[in-house]
Amino acid sequence: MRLLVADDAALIRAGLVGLLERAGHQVVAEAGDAPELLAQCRRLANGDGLPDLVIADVRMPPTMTDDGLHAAVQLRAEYPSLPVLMLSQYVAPAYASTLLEGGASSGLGYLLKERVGRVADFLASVELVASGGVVVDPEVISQLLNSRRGDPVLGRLTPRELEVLALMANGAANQQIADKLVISTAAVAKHVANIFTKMGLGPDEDNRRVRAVLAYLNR
Amino acid sequence: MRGLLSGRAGTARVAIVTDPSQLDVRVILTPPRNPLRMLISPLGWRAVLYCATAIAVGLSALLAAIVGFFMLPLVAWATANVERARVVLLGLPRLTPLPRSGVRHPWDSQGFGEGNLAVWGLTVLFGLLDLVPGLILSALVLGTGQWAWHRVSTLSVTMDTVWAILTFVVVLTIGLYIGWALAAAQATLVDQQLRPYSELNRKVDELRESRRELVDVFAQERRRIERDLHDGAQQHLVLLSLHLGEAEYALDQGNTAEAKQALASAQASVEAAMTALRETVRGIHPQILSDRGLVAAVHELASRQPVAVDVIVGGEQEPGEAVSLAAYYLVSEAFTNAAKHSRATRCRVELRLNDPLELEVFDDGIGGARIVPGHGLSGLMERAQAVGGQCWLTSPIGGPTHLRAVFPNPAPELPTDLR
Repeated sequence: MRLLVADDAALIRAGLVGLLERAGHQVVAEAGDAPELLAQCRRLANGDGLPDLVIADVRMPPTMTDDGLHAAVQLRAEYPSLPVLMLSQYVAPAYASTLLEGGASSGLGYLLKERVGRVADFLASVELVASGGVVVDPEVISQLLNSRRGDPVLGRLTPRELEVLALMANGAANQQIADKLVISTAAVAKHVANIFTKMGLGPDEDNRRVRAVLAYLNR
Repeated sequence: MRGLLSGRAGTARVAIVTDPSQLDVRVILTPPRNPLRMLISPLGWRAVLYCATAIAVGLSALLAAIVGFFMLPLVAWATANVERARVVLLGLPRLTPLPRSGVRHPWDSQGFGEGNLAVWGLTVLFGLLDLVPGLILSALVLGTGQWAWHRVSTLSVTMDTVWAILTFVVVLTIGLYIGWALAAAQATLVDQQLRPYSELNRKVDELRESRRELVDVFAQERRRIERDLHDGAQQHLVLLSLHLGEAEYALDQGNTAEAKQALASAQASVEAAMTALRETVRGIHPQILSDRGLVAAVHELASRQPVAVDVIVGGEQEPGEAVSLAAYYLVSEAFTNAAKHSRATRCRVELRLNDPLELEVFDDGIGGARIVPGHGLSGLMERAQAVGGQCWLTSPIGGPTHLRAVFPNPAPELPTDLR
């Protein structure tokens, strides 16, 4: 895959690029701040073609706040088909929501930076987002769930269903959920059906269901 | 005052005031809601008295100013004094002048500064303003009163008598409300100009300001610590995680050479994280300062500077912790400025540990250091002031930069039970 990596910390950027290249990807451009990220992406779009995925830090110069995030939102507005994976040091559902609100249907991810250490999982997330999937960090999901504790609908979910919901929001497929919770895929399917019935959502498959769940949690 | 307190006006607010000198003009701003209460409340009658005297004082003030135009400052000063006293009619405490304004010559420009001229203007304005409604209302009240009295005294109990009494009461009540409104307006404006502003008030204002700035300083420090952690230790820990992940990945694929290399990188990341953490911790509180005192801490700080630093120490009285910390950060900021902005090649720190403690930092750089509110040095100056110190900065463009600070440094009192 052709990737664009943006992070202001040169060390981390180098580490990421090394990791991705060893995994067989091609990093076609790097950026150290938000304006550079925009410029590089536009340059690629007008030349060799959009990258398959943009991986960017939320916090970057020039203001060292959430410039990276704003750049990503702008890129998605300009190129709706561009998948973006944001990395952040912060568990902040508000950041993830900003991305989701864009409404574009291309791949989307929000992961804590340290997830890059789980190399296999991280590479899987990269693949998933690049192919149009949605990945939101489990920490962010649990914080979202936590902030909605008083919600009567979530209150009706059993603890097991909440676990399944969190994994679902994290982008896991039924098979992965079954593996993680050590239950059968049939049991997972039943839990998923229950969750969707209780939440009043249509039983969509794959990414649409992740979006539905996130949209619900973000409501 | 009793009268005012017993009225309905602002009872709740008055109830908590125990010191009459703290009675504020605001207590007269709430008249009784019930018009019948206005009739028996002292507030309305006090207001009428205040307005009646306002007419007399206002016209006198105008006349005095016309006759003695060149004596206007004196007239204004006298008017202001009368107005200070006249609020007593409303049940408020006399507005005491500032101690110094009493001694000052009335021609002194300060005489205007204290609001005397404004008060003179207000007095004349309200004297004229009160005159017209005062005359009309007096006529109306007297007229209807006479009519009612005539009816009552002839003992003819007819509808006319009832009407007469009702009209009189209504006119009287309206008169009291208008009187109250005019008096409250004038008293509020006069109060604004002449409110006693004692040294104590001034101190309170200063303290409030410095406390606000200290809170800003704390917020700044927190932001700095957050940024230090984010840019320092956190980055290296992310890298550590990445390298460990790579090592595991390489091992899974049977590539031990790559795994070894990743582990070596991980080791380097841990060490870098430790270094960064140490820097941040030192920024929060320099351990050596608590362990060895200010002189040792300044020496240590000097040894870590990219520019050459001479440290000259005199006196032997190590300051307490608060002063030490404030002095330490001033030196640290001066070094930072010398290294980062002033392109200095050499610094000199002079530390005289007497009472007061004197601190001076010189650098041979290009100068131009400024105290920007909300930035490094200004926060540190606030901090110094918070422990009773004072700072001066001279940094002409072209250099050199000289920072000087003085802190109180009394000898520690020995515990009395020390044998």
